Amino acid sequence: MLLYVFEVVMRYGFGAPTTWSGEAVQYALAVLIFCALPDSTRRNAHVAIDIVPEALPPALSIWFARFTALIAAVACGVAGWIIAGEALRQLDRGLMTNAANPIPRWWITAVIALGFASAALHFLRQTAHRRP
Amino acid sequence: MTWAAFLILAIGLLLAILFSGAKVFVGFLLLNIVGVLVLIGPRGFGLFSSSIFETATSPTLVTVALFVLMGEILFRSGTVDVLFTSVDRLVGRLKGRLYVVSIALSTVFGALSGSAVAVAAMLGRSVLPLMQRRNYDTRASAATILASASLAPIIPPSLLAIIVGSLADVSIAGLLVAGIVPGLIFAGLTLAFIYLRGGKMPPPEAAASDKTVLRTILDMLPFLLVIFSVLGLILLGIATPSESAATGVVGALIVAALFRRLSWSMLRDAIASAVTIAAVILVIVLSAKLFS
Repeated sequence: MLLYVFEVVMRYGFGAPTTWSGEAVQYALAVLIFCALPDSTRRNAHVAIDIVPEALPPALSIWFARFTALIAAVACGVAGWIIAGEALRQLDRGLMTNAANPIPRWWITAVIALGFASAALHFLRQTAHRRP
Repeated sequence: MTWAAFLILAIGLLLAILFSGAKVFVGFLLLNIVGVLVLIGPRGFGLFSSSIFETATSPTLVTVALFVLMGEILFRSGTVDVLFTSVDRLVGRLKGRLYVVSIALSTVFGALSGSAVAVAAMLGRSVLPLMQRRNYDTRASAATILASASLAPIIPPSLLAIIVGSLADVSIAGLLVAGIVPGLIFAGLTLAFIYLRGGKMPPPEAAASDKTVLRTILDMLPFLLVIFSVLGLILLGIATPSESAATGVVGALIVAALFRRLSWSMLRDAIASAVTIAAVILVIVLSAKLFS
């Protein structure tokens, strides 16, 4: 937020736009999302359509919740694994971001992979929950 | 397998996952992984990774996070209570005046928060109990609040407009500005429906506040700063939608400070809540991008 306000002031106040503030905000957004993903998973804050599980008897609903947590763990685990592979490939090739001030692309890709992998572990933990 | 069959199967699989109660982002993520594997094979993993990388670093989506933060600061600082009192005071002695108050409040809140859920929660906590205490029809009260909360995704700043714009590659600034007139028309139609639907209307009553009209209007003026720092700067061509969201946050902080509601603990709670809400929304968008 501060970087964007700084950019507006520099551009319209001083006629001196920066090349780095927008890029820094974009990288910060990716880091923010994937650092928050494991925590929002731990707190079960994600959006879900729960019409069907709510209509089921409690015992069945628990097994449904465990099943969907397992699906989520697999999806996040596989996504994390794929993206981690991509991060290693980027590191190996020395790929940089396509920007005015490039940074190694794997820095951000590795954070994304770690976010998904950590979320997968939280979903896996939720498969043992005794409540839906 | 033909394209049509694959598409039907993909949508069927997605709906099955979503209605099973799985998290929405998981449905899209799984479908994208399966889709890439079936259609391209492991060679498509790079495409999958790039799609997530490019979306997670999209300047458009920064707007969502910042608008959420702006709304959180206004709601958590309690400055919206000032708006509630002011709008309540400005609505005159009318039959069923709390219906009018809730629609007017939703219109104003819609211009300060892009989330229908936030507005519905706010009105559900503040206006609905008041309506029930005053023997308003609960069903009509809830319907009014839910219908008028739906103004938030239409009136700018709208999170929905930004998400639709980013997925469909349409001008975000254009979409935001285009919501003003339809939003006001929708507010007018909701109001007309309440009065034309028939049914018993509660008798006219006085506002809870006894402040003068001039004082009430003066109390509302700081909120124009927030609206200007978002819409004004876009219309004047000074800021992009993302930057205007950042200036909107500054506007919200100034308004909170003007009403002496700015504190570190409020700011910490607002940021923590905004990060969670933004992450939950954005992880769905970035999981769905390749599918779109």
